[in-house]
Amino acid sequence: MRVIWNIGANTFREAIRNRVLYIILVFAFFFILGSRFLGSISVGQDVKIIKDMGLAGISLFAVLVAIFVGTSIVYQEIERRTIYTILSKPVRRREFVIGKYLGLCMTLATVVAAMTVVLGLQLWLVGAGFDLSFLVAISLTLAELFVITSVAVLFSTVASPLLSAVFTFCFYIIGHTIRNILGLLQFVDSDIVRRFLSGIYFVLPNLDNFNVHREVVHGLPLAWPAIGYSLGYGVAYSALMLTLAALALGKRDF
Amino acid sequence: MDDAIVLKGLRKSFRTGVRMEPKEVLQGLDLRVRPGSIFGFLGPNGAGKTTTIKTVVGLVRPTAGQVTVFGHPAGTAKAAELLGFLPENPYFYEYLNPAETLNFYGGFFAGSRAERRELVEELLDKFDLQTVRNQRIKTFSKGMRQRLGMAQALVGRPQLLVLDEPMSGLDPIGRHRIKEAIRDAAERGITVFFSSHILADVEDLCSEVGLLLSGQLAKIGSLEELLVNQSQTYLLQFDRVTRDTARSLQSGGLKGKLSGERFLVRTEDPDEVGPLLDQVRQAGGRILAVQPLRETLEEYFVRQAGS
Repeated sequence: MRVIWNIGANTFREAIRNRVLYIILVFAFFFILGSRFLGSISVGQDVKIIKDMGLAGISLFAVLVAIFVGTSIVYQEIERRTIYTILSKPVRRREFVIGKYLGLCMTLATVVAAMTVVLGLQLWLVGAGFDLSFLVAISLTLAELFVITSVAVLFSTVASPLLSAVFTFCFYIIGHTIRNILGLLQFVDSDIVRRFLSGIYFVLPNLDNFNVHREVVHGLPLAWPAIGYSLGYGVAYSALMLTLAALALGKRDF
Repeated sequence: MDDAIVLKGLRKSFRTGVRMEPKEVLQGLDLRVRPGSIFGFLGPNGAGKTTTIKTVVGLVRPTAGQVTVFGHPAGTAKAAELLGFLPENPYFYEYLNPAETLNFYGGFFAGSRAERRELVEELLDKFDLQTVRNQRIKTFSKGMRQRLGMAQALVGRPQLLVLDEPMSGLDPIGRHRIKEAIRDAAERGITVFFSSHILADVEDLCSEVGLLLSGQLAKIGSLEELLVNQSQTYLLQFDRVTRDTARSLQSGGLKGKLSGERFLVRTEDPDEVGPLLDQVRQAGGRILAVQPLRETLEEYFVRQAGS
């Protein structure tokens, strides 16, 4: 655990000293602050618009951070050969992968926390505040980010940052549109295409399961069993991705 | 005590090119490095030195054969705890400073924070990094990076130091500092295994040398064994030698040099040394020195690599 924590803390330190992270954060803050302007020109819907835009902004910009940092996280260590001095120490390759993942998750948690504070201030200025469902939405966004990050880390062990970014972005998009695949299946005649689409449906996670923005914005009740299932599924999926990443790294020569 | 490094029948192939054809870089390498020795690992470019080193430190998995570090299989946590590694042209996290870097690497080993802090201070002192302890590594010169590399290799208090070209690209002062660090480590009982192209440094430091050619160990032994035993040349120095005596000494085909009354002559035949000494003595000359001429490591290396 000491080794994983050491790598995680160093990854976090590396990420928070990265200027690009702050550029993304500045855009995120402007986006969240902009929600107040849109809210002000709506009729009595300002809190809903601020919440809706704010939650969407947190999710979008944090995904950008996850893809930008995550897809180069292992690859850069190999390219810059910093991995030589680490893996020659008493560090197992799986510990290295988990440590990098942990560091990135800590970075994302910090980024999401910062954006949540800005959104909270926005809500406070219009006389609204946080409630439990709002915090659940933020937590589920984080869980989704952790799943995406595990995929980014896996790609990062086998492909260049550019390819990894493209693959991870595709994963994100497909993950949010995967319900449509089920709809498509009934219109497909070809058995091969049907099997291919079914395969995608079963292999890729439904990232919409982590999205309760609609319920939070409109004050609808939360489906707790579904939330529990989504969290469990996210943990299992991330564990699988990290296991594959560790296996891929374990087979590599440096 | 187990040998510091044991390689038994070590083979390593890499798949290269479009057809991914296997290329065997190491072809059944056998090698033992005794504890406490400074072992110089030589070979021309492409001989497989770095690949061998990487198998020892666990960065490359052998295709066949065994690699152990003090009896523990290479690549295991136990073996890694016992060794410190300095790669060729070491790379570090550019956004960290030396103190943070050493603290980070120290975090992989057992011990309290206070112990680690103490060790980091000791290494910063030892490698002249105290004045730049808060400076980011991206501003460092090659020499400073190499010193930091040596410091990180020592951060786990290893029993074996594995150094890949530790003196390459350094100025004379930088080389001197690294050589001092190697000597100091050896004095403290640490086994040092290093590859180098700077043969003068190897000659200066090593108690044992191995020569790798095309993935196989061509020669191994102490420098005395490798170099002195090869020598058949003797340098003889005389004083109070007249021009006539010098001419007479050279009459048998030897070529010497007379400066004033000093006469210098070389012979490659050991049986000739005795008669020459007698001849000078009888002519009233004085013998200053009879010196077997050792082949330099560079001459030896070129001869072996060439053949």
